[in-house]
Amino acid sequence: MTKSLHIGISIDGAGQHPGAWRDPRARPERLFTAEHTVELARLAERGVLDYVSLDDSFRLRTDRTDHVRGQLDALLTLARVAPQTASIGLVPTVTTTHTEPFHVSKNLATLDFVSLGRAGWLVDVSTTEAEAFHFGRRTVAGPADLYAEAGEAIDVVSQLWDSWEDDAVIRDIGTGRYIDRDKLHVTNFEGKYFSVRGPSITPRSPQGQPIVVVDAVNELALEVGIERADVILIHAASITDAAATRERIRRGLVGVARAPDDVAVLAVIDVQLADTNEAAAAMRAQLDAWGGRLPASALEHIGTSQALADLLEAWAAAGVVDGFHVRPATLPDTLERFVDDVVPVLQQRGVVRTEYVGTTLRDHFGLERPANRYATTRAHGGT
Amino acid sequence: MSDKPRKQVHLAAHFPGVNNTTVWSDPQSGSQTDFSSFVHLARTAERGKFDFFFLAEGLRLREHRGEIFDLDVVGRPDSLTVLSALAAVTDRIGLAATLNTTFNEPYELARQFATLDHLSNGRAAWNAVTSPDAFTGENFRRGGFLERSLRYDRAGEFITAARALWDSWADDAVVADAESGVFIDDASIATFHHGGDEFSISGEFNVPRSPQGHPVQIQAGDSDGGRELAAQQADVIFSRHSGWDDGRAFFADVKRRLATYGRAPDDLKIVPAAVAFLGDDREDALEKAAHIRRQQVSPQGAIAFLDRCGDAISRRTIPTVRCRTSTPTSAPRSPAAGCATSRTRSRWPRSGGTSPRPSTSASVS
Repeated sequence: MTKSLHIGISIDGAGQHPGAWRDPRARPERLFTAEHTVELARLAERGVLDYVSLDDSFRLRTDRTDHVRGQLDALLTLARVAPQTASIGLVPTVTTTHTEPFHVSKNLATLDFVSLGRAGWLVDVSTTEAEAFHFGRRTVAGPADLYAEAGEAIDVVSQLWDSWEDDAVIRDIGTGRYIDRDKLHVTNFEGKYFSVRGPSITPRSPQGQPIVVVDAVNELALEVGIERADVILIHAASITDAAATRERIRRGLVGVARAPDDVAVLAVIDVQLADTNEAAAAMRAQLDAWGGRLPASALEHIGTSQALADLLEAWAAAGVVDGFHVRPATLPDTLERFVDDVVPVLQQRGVVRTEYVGTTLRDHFGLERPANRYATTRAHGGT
Repeated sequence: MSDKPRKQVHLAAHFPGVNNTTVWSDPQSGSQTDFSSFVHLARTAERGKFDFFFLAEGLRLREHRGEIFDLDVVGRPDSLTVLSALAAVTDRIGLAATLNTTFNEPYELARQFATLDHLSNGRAAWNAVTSPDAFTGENFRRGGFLERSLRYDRAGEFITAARALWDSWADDAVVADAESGVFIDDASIATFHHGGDEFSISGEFNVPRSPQGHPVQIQAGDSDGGRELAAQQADVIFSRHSGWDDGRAFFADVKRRLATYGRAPDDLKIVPAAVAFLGDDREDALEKAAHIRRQQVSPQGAIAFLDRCGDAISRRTIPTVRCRTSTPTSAPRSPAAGCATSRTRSRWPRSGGTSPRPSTSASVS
């Protein structure tokens, strides 16, 4: 029997395609409302998917007047979504170049609190001069530095998540102590890019460690993912490609003394769905005419839901990935088709779950709630 | 009865958190971090038609003689994240957070507040505080970089920069006209430039102007610099002056300063701290108050208090000089820090502090 595939969905803007907002089924005037994102997250939850992700950056991504410009803070937006969803994982992009690891750590821990254990972190860096000018603190660093800094940020954020043991709050009336301070830990992180003393101001969150996701958009990102991520998104054009990357990740994990099963590998796939191949191609042509072409990606499916289900199942059967990070061309249309037409087929074939079995994002990925690295006893609580 | 319409007062509710007066030992006292506690209080305040619900901030755990202070409530979630989630389960109540201008940057914080304002349909408020201390700075990249004397310069410049960002988008920038293909007209997004001693930033903001344009601006500083900043830029000022004469003097002083900035007296609302003990009748309320006050001071807490204040008492500073209270934003550094708690129950913390004294009744409701 095949392992259940993990599926995450990008719910950015009106969809991945720059022309998507002009689709008659789009509601572009609602893009900056909470309701827009809540509805998409609920739709993904109806499909029993693992998580929704929301991109973020500190810049306008385009100068074009015919593209969507502007975006809300992703983490806060998904915090807004949390009380109106019950199971779906919430994975915002939070960048590491111009942000404070101390804030990043407590903000993600808090997303985990308000979602009762559904937070993840899509790590990204800020590469542009525009972003550097928006902060006015430093010049643009080279990619090697940016990713090395991202790696350090993950380290310190993750240490801060553990800086409170689960049972640190004791409320011991006899001794008058609210906390057992022996269960709080100074992290004293000293890296090349920053030093952070700790502990966090925020207690350990429901998952202990929210899920860390790295999109392996380049070699440096892949390295960061191998060293530190729970989920790595890969860009592979074929099963053979994916197998090679998977092997590369496996060897990398061994090299850094991590177990291959500790990391889920998801293939990124751009998706455009319609009833027939012709209709899908026609819709793509229309979107291209509206907004220009979608940047090329390694893996793309423009066609029917049935064919997409076949493709995903074939990759799953080959055992090269643990699932997919799906980027719908249009929202909500492509996601609706995915949830209503693709997911049921995959469920019938037994390759995706039919209902949530756990409550946390770690549960969805079959990852244990990790013991606290600083705990002297093994008596860590569950969620 | 006069026909003159009565002036209504504004009410804000504060989540009683990291504070030496929060009664955590009461069996009815709930979690300080679970989201359900925040939902309960915010909804209760909304039911009472309060203006806003307020969360304080502290960016380093307090310490006493080099160790984390363990007798008071400690640990809290991030305010903006909690408020964004609360926006989903409330409809009208304002959502206010203390955010530090020393350990944040305008672009990021302006985005976060604009986002909260969008997500809540216009209910965001920001209590801007400053924190000059190196103690808190140890948790951040830059460390303790800010001179104490410059803290209000930094805060003022931060607010000015944030407003430049919020104002860089026209209100109706998002056209989203699928027919013509115009999502945003170029003329609707201005570039911003802010050049000052604290910030030198330029470029394009990336959040559409939010429902309120600017979040409601709160200021809590009580020093001359704090009051001046409030007069210049704030919509609301928290006040620790709850006594009649004290309150009148504060009111007059702050309102007097507004004219300098071309503002009318009503442009700045004064919100003093108040603690309420409620009972079925006066006797019942007094009894409850006494009970709560007893719970606020444990034997260990009293010893720690004396320990911290011993030096100050020996210098006879307590009766004449207001001891700096230990605040959520900074740990006690002077021997006297953290004292003056039980006798100044209804005061805001020191200028630059972040939280009012907690409404004790809320913590045991």
